[in-house]
Amino acid sequence: MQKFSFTKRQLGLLMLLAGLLVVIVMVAAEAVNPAGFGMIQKLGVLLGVLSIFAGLTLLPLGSRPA
Amino acid sequence: MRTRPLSQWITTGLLALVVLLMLGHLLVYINYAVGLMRFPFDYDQGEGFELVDTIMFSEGHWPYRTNEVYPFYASNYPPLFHIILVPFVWIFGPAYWYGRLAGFVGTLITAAAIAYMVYRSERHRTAAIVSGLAFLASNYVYHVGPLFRQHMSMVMFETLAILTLAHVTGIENPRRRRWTMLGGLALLLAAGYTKQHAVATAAAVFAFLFIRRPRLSIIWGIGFGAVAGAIFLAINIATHGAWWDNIIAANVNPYIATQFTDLFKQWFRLHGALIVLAALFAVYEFYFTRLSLYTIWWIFAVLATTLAGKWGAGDSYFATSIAATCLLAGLFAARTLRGTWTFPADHPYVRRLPKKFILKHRPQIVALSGLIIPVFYLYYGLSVIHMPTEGKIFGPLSDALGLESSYPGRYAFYDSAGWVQGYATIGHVPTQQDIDNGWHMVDILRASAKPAMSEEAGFSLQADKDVVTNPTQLKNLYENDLYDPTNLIDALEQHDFSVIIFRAQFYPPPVLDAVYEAYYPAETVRMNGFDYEIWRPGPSQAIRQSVAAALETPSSNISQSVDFSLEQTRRWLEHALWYHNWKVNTPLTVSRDCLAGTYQRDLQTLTVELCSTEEGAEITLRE
Repeated sequence: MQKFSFTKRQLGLLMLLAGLLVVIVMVAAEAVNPAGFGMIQKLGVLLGVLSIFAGLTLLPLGSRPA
Repeated sequence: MRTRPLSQWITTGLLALVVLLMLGHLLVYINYAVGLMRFPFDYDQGEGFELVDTIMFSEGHWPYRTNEVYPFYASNYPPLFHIILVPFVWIFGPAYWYGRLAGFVGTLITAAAIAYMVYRSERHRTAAIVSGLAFLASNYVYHVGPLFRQHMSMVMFETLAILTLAHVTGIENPRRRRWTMLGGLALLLAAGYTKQHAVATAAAVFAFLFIRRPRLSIIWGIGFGAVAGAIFLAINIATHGAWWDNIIAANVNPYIATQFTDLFKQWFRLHGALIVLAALFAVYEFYFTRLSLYTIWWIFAVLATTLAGKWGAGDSYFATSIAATCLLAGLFAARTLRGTWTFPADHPYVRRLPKKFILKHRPQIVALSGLIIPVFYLYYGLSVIHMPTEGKIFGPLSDALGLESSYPGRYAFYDSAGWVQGYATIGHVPTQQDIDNGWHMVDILRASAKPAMSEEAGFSLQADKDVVTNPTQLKNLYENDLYDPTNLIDALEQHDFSVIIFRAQFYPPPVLDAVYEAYYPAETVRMNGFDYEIWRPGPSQAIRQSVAAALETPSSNISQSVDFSLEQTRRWLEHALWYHNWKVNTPLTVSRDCLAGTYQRDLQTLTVELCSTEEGAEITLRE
């Protein structure tokens, strides 16, 4: 039986979702406790956006193994 | 037809230059390591406390304990590094050299592991050797490597874990795969119980396993978590919760964003040439082939450098990322030098490449790439230059290279890294004068039967005294509301310590305040470019309180006898005046067999007179 492993598309989706989640959490943290958008939040958003971008670029690679 | 052999010849020549440059860095590193092993005191603040932890383990005691009773000491590091060194304590007694040797050997093993991984994957000897040497050439690895600190041993265990687990998902034989997993995860556990920072490498390993074999990742992840958690819980129970307080809670420090960003820029400036190669390799794997553990490790290691912004953290937090960078850059270099890059023809992104152009000019591209790789390494080797600027060999060599000390007046050492917050200003080899000055401080401690409170443990250890306090640990706990300094303050007020030795004054503010009130700075000794302040006990508490009251509200004349010499009294009184915010108006000078001067605070002026008496000295304060 073939063992399951992630494909590039699945990994792309995972990164896309993870990136979105990080961005939402960072923005939500500011909305809940508006203490100024700090360094960690900026860093989080940057990493989130990078993750979204990387995830999107993986989507066209289809079922190639990740 | 001539282009190819000529380019190969140039490549070989450039690679030989790279190897020579890296070997030069290795010699500088060995010289430094040997110099440190001969130095019998703390070189980097905190080394002595790691030795204390090792001694405690050798005696069968936990170093995780309450900080609120004498000797007000606890460790904030996991135990493995210290436990490994216990046999050395049994055989040689307390000493710094074996901890520094362990750190140094750890970096050599890490370098060898990097070289082996490059060779195992790409079969290119020179690239493999250069990759390992590049790790040792880093400014960061250089100055942290041969210290009695656990960080580089953690990096060693991390690297060995990566080496072991990199191909585990491809092992078909279940028995062999199981043993490989056990071995790799044991190394990972060792890394975590050497220093907590290894958590990023553990995350990388399980992320890799999850992508390749999710089931394997989950099953082994649960097992790994259970074992790591059980050990954690067992130590916490055995230490009555002190393990949690000292290892976890005390490490919740303020985050200094600029410290991280400045260190990150410095890290990139120094290692940029290799980071570019490593990033290209990561991009290649990300899009054109399967992600290896190496690439995932590199990504996680780079992300984990964000922790370098914590108060108390520093450049050593980049060491794992440097190891991973050297590995990936080495793989990129080897593959380029061998011309073995492959791109699947049906790949959507490859289809957009100008294939005709590439195929037509492939020999030239391969030749050019072969030239570029050594240039990148040469650039790296020159970016990270650091060396002593004195000595029989390094003096003339640094003169010839036009390198001057980066720390003029402190010590003779050139460091291309420059300085940013969080970067340790070390790297020089201690001189005989440094050693002599260290022994002078030991003699000060030996002159009294009482223990001393020193910001570094080395002097107390050499004087065979109790090591009292772990300052940064007390400060961290205090700032997290986990430390009540009442007992230590009482001990200071009662002069329970013969002297206080400060280097950076990293104590909780109330403790510093108690020292300022009860002791006075009597002497400064320079060692390793740092000023060590020797604070001696002031007069008795009653006299201190009487003078303090007069200095706080100087309403009338006060005379106070002190059983100190005139000179001691002058030093103490000058400190007391500073402590109560009096500024010098006219300094104390000889006047009619006494010392007299005036001090100012806001609109108040205080006349101070000190006279020698049979019992000692007499202080007179007049507003």
